[in-house]
Amino acid sequence: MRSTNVSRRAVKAGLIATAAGLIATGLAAAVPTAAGAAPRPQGSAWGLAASGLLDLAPMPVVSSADKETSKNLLHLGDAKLVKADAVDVKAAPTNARSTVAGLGVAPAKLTADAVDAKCENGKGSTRLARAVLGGRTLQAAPPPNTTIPVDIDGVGRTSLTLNKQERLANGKLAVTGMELKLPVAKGSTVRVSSATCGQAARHAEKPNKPAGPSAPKPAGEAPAPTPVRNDLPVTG
Amino acid sequence: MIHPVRIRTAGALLPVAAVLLLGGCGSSSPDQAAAKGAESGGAGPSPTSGTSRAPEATTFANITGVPRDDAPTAGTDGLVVHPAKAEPVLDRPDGRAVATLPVQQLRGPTWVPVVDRSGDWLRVLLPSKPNQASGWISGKSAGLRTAHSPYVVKVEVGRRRLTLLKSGHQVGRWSVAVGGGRTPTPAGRTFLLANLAPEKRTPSPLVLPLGTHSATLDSFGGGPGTVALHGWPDSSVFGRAVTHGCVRVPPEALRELSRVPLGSLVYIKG
Repeated sequence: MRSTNVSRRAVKAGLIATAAGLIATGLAAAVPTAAGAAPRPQGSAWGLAASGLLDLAPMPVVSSADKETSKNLLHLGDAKLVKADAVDVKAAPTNARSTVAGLGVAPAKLTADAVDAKCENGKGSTRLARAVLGGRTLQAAPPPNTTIPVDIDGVGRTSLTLNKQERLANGKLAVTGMELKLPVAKGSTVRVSSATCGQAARHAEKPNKPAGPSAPKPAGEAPAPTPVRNDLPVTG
Repeated sequence: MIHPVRIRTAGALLPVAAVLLLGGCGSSSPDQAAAKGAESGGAGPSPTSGTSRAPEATTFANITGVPRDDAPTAGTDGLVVHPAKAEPVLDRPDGRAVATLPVQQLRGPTWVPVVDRSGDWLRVLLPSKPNQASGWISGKSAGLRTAHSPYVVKVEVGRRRLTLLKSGHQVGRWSVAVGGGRTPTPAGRTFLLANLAPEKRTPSPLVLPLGTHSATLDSFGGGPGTVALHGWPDSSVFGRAVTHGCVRVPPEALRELSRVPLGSLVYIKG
């Protein structure tokens, strides 16, 4: 719901500013990720989405193919399930950013002062400020697609993915700050802070390859198989 | 380092899945030509427990403690990997070794698809029982070979047809025979495990085993119930649900499928 109250605006501005300050403190530069030919530059972003546990369509949503546009909202969701105190999203043709402040996912005991996802010219990154899962503080600048197994007693095992980065069918890069799957209802998922942008055409690496100097390099197209003489009884 | 976060809500703690170190039939098979034992991942992430007794992930093995494929309809970027040595397979990133991935499957090279990643860890599909078995290997393991397959195979059991796609474009679509009512072709995401030329060219000159098994037949013909794509001499079967789980395809389809890289994903829709 959008607030028109002046004091609420002040609170929101404070929350966003605080979150930005927390995130800007002591964090590394953006993590380069994959890129490929972008058919048409257009950025987009949204703040919070949930399904199953709480059906919440992505909001607020913003997209742009020309000048930067932005939206913000206060007090999204349900404090007993999934909530955010403030959300700020921005999008331009080749960059997008989503900042969610005051996140709480009560069933998973997940909280964060801020979750900030950015996509800039084919580079994605996520910053977390005071993010805590089950009493454990999460890494402030998680590498792409960091998956943390989560055991929720009485409910089951699930996973939290941080800085999820995926290549869309249209060639754009989508960065999602947090994606939490919950076993409480089939397909129950909470997604926080998503930014999608077009990419520079010069970059052509595959997405999400392992980082590090010793990571294996993709060797191109997989080889056609050579039949081997062998017999295996199969279920004809 | 990633460790599971345990969150207490109510009731007893969830039991941690035990690692059952059974070898299945894999180690006794003559097809397991290499890859005995396992080694740690060198400079890459290493498992937190030993792997020497972990079973080999082959079509003959039944492995407990492995995570199931939790996104059986999801697409990937086509990454496939081939281990240069027996590769420890963990139940989760930085977790416990539950299997080893040998360098060969059925006398051919092991290629498995990557379906998820976490840092330097790669989640791969395994060819063993239970169906949908998966596990995590180190993406930094010495000699690990990676490549991309542009191919995807889709089997629509209900429509009894198979579609081969390359880079999203249809290469061909054929009417095929699928599993009968009591021996259905198992649904889910699997992969091309091997490309075999059997001694007898009838009923099929090539057999393409998949990384999945019949859900109703524990064994078949002396084998572990492995489902495969293969030809069939009688064209009247195509379009019918008459097999024991395998997918019988026409000669043209077999010819095209025989060129598809090992490890390529096969989606079976029930």
